[in-house]
Amino acid sequence: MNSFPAKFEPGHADVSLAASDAMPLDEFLIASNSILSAIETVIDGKRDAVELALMVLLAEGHLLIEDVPGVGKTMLARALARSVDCSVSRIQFTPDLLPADITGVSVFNQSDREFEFKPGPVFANIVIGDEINRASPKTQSALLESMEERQVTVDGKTYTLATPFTVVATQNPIEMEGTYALPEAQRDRFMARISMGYPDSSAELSMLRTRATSSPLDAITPVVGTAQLRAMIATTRNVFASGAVEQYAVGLAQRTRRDPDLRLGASPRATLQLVRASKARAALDGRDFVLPDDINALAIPVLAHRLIPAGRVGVTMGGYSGASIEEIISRIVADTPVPLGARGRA
Amino acid sequence: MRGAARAGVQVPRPELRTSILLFLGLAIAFGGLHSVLADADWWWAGTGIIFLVFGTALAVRTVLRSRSAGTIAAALVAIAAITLGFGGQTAFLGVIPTVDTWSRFGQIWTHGQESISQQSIPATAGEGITLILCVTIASIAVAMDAMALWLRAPALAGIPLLLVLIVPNVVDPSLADATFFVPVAIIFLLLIRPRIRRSQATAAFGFGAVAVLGALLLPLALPSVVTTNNTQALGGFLTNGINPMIDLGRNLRQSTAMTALTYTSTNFNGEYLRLTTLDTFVGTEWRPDTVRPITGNDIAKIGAAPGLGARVATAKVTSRVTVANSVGQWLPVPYPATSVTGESGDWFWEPDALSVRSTSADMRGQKYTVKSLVVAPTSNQLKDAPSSSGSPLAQVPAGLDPVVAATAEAVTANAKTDYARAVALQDWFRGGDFTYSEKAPVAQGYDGSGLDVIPTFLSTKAGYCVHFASTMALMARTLGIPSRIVVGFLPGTPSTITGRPDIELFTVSSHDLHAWPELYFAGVGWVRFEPTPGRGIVPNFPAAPVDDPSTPNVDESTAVPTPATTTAPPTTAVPGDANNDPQSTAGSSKSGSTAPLGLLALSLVLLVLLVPAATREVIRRRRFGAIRRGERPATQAWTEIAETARDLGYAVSVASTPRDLAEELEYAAALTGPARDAILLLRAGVEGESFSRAESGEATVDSVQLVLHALRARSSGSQRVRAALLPVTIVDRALAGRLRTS
Repeated sequence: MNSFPAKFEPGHADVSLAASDAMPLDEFLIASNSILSAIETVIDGKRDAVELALMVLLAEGHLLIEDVPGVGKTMLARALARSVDCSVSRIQFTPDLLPADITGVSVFNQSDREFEFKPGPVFANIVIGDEINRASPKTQSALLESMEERQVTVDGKTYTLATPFTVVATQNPIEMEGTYALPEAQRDRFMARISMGYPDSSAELSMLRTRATSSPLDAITPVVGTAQLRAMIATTRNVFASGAVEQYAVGLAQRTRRDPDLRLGASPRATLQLVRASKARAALDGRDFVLPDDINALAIPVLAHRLIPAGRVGVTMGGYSGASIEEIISRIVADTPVPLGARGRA
Repeated sequence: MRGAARAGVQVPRPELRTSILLFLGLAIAFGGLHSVLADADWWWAGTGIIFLVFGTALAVRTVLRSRSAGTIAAALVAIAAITLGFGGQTAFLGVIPTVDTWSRFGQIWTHGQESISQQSIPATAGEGITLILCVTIASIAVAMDAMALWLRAPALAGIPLLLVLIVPNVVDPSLADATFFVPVAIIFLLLIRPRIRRSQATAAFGFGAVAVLGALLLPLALPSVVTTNNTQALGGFLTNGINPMIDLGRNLRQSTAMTALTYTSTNFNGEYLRLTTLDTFVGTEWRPDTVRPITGNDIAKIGAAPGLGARVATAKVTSRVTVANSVGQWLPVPYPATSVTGESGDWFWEPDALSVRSTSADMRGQKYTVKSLVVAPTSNQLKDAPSSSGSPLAQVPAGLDPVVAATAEAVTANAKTDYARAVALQDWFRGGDFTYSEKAPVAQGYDGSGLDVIPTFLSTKAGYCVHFASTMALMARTLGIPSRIVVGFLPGTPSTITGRPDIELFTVSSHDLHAWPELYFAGVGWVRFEPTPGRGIVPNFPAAPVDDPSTPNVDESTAVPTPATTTAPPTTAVPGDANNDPQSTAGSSKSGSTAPLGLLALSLVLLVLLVPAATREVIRRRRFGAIRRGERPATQAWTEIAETARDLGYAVSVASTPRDLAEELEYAAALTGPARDAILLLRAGVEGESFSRAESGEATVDSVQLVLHALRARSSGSQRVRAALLPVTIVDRALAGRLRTS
């Protein structure tokens, strides 16, 4: 599945996004719909999760899929990767995985008599990190750093990662055994966290039938090429976020920082990623501007994994109401006034 | 704001706290009436009712958990309590009012009103006043309960509180009592405190304190509105000063007419009712006759009119007078009166003027029957009257400007007889050159009846009755005709009493106070003239009688009013029946005395109530203007829709996005057809304008109106009334301290 060049030249994947021409919105919609329907042949009845995954891809973010084993986390990640014709690598995180297993190593080439960089699996457009919370913190941080920097430094040399570059990591809920919970700082690097949830009975039934004979994943053929994907990303970037929307996003973030129910509020990076993800959602909706509704819809997936409640969920103590993170975010969203036409006037 | 978080730690039963505060506030404010009422029984009665109202409301609310039921139950209990206290045996089971109860209430109420208008301050609260107080205070308590606990707008409860507090102020500013105002103001601040966010509490209390302080200090800085009424007792006028001329203009200028008296008369033209005459000069001022009690001048038999000859036709008239709000030591009687009966107190009649006077009694509240004559001389009799220029009352006072005599000469140049001269003077005054003005003399500083004002009056040609009367009287004197001025009342407004075709009821108001000259003609006596333009009735003597003077009676039957045929017998019937009629009319007309206070309070309430509505309308219009001018039209349109929806009680929050709001309204108001299209169009407009690159979105006033209309159509009547009178958005703005558009 991995398709690396045999010999890695620094910057070979460094295609400037600015060079990509934005795709017109109608073409964008056709392309995105074909991606979505391709994925849906594999993942039944999870339209929301699938759309969110695509949004993160288009908004150049990273996706964290958190759920119990066996609900199709990896399947979603792989389907997303398969439907787009770009390089994909998959890393199965284990406690003994080392940073070099991710970033790559320099080995001495006997024939050339020089060190040659053997890129790791992180050099791909879509990197699937399975059960990321099973790896040691050292290895986790190696991946997470490359996620933020979009480059890898090995033996003093810096190698730029592919563009687009998206990490789709899955993890089991942290309460489970043999896991290393991701620290807050590292969770913050994921644009959004989604959970799959169990399929409903009809979806589960149809899954039983389709899986009986063959892996449906094989049936997926790429529907969008890399160049097209870059154009789609450029379109997403071009979506307009007005002053009012920006003000609204900032207002939400600031409220999370002041809220007595929360010990840790949203970071400025969270605000940035919230607006970026909203642009992708607007584009998928066929709009070239962001609405506050986009922000509202994405507030929980984008913010929930970054915020820390003031106490234990379900336990009322001090100023903390015992509400879950999702309840707290919903409440904040419901309380934050939506500014209209914020061009100099409030 | 954080409903979910607060639900767990909410103060248990905030209604209890509000009810206690309302009770304390109203009871203290009610206590503020102590400056106008004696004793404290009325306070206990009223406070008992207040306690019942708030207690019942609280109890019912606690049990039934219904906000409206509490107020309704409180109103019913208040009615029952008042029925128990005042209805006596007329009520069913003691507490359920019957038709009899209502009529009994009506009687007590009327007595209360009479007693208010008759008593001076501090008044004794009898049964009538106590009933009025109890009913009023119960209504106010129920209204406050409804505002604070039913409508959840405790700030509104301040209006009735304020009304109770300002009562002494309205009666007399010197009665204001800050010791009652301050605690009520503090209680009011406590009442509205839960509505203030904690972060704003300091600022809010700062403003509150400044407001209270300002309210205390402001009256010191402002001129008193009612200073001119200061000297009047509760609802009365015509102070018992010796010279009524001084009060006359003031009473006329009073904006609100009060009922001075009512009378029934057998003279369908009504009677000029005289109070007193002014015939002598002290210095440069007209003065009434010196007043000393004249023993033996019993008013049951008043002496003959001076100078009235036997040949002059007269007719007997009987009038039954009920004095309402006037104060003074005269009884209003027609001229010439022959007898007064039924009055109370020590009265006597003055020999020349035939005025009825007292040194101890007061006209207020008097009911008496007066018999008088209508004197109807022919113009021939008046023309033939010999000159009386030798009389002391024809002497021109020293210091009179010669221009007066010169003017009189000029005006009467063509007149041959004294009577013709008098008529010429009267015609000159009423001829159109002169204007009636109660204010011009005051404004230009020539008010009064003194000699010095007459030249000014003659040149400005504007004044009121005092000026016309005194000037004509003086001009007559320069021509050698004896004259005097009379102060009294115009005949008033007639109204027919059903079932009594023989008498007419007249209502005389404070604006009917009048002054006129009387000129003396030998053989006829004192004859009234009416020089004031636009006022009163010009005495009509047959100017060119074709009849032989020897048969005057035939001719005069047209000039003499209809009662000429009414002779003694009906007079016995008149007092008996008139006893009831004027009383009931007097009862209703007495509301005139409380009318200014009531009107003031009512307009104050209306004004305060209309402020939010007007503010909301102004904001709406400003938005429509902005839409028409294309200044962020879609945003203005959308804000207007959102706020109207909030005012109408739709579940709309400021945190709703246009999409949320459109969806909510589409569902809640069941928008279909053009209204639905309009709201979707406006939604697209506001989204485009606020969130896209477009500079402005599409919106028209018509589409906004369409949506607003649909929203109103789907909301209940009470919601619409509330949205109109007390828009939530305005309340929020007021609390947030910002009253500007969007």
